[in-house]
Amino acid sequence: MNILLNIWLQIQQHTSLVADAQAHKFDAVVYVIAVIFALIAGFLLYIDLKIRKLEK
Amino acid sequence: MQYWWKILGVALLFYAFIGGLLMPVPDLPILEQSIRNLYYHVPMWFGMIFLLLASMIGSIRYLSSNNITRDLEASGFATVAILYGLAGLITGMIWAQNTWGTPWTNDPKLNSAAIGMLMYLAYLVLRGSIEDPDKKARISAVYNIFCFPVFLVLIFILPRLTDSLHPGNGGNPGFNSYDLDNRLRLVFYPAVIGWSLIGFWIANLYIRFRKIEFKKYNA
Repeated sequence: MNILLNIWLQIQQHTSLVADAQAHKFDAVVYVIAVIFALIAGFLLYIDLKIRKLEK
Repeated sequence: MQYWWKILGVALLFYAFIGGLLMPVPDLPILEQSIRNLYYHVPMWFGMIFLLLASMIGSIRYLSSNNITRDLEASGFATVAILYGLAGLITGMIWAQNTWGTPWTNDPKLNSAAIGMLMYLAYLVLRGSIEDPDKKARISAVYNIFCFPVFLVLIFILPRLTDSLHPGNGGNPGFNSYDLDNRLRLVFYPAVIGWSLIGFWIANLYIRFRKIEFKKYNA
């Protein structure tokens, strides 16, 4: 019985670790998307300033 | 002072990207986590409608003033609106693949949206096929003014008259009835404003660039 309980606890621990790792991986993907968007916004601002210079 | 709406657009979209992927959503059958696409697919189409409206207003203003810069505005807004429409179609196809099991069905809403997009692509083809700038501006302005109401009928009215898989059409309830605790609205409304403002910013840059180009070659 003890052995079974031990195996069950190990499986539980393993799945929670996997879930944690997946959650962290997902968070990382979200932040990468945010950084890419920030770069795109920066690029738009750069073009805006360039066009402003041409308009003068 | 002229940058405030651009900064607001970036901030709202930044919030929509992070909040849209990390904030809690209602647990809905079939849709499950794919409901988060509501923050991307639908606001892109809202943005497209606003841009197409701006394009139609540009065409009306061109016809009433004969000022060629109004025509450049109309075509600039329409070009960015088409890009938004294509992005909306792609995000919709991804959503359909995950919920309906196929990226495209013979659904009136989807087919109408495709026809609408083709109508606006024809607008760009029409512009490209006429050499004389005045003639091009006048003919495409008339086409654009007729195109917008037909587009609205195609995507908002016709799909409601028949059976449709798409939410909010053919007797199906829209997302309002699913979201009883308003969690979706917290991100959805800022996303609509953010996507629209960024769309107007991109169009603004494109139009200003075209105006500089026009001045250079017609000086």
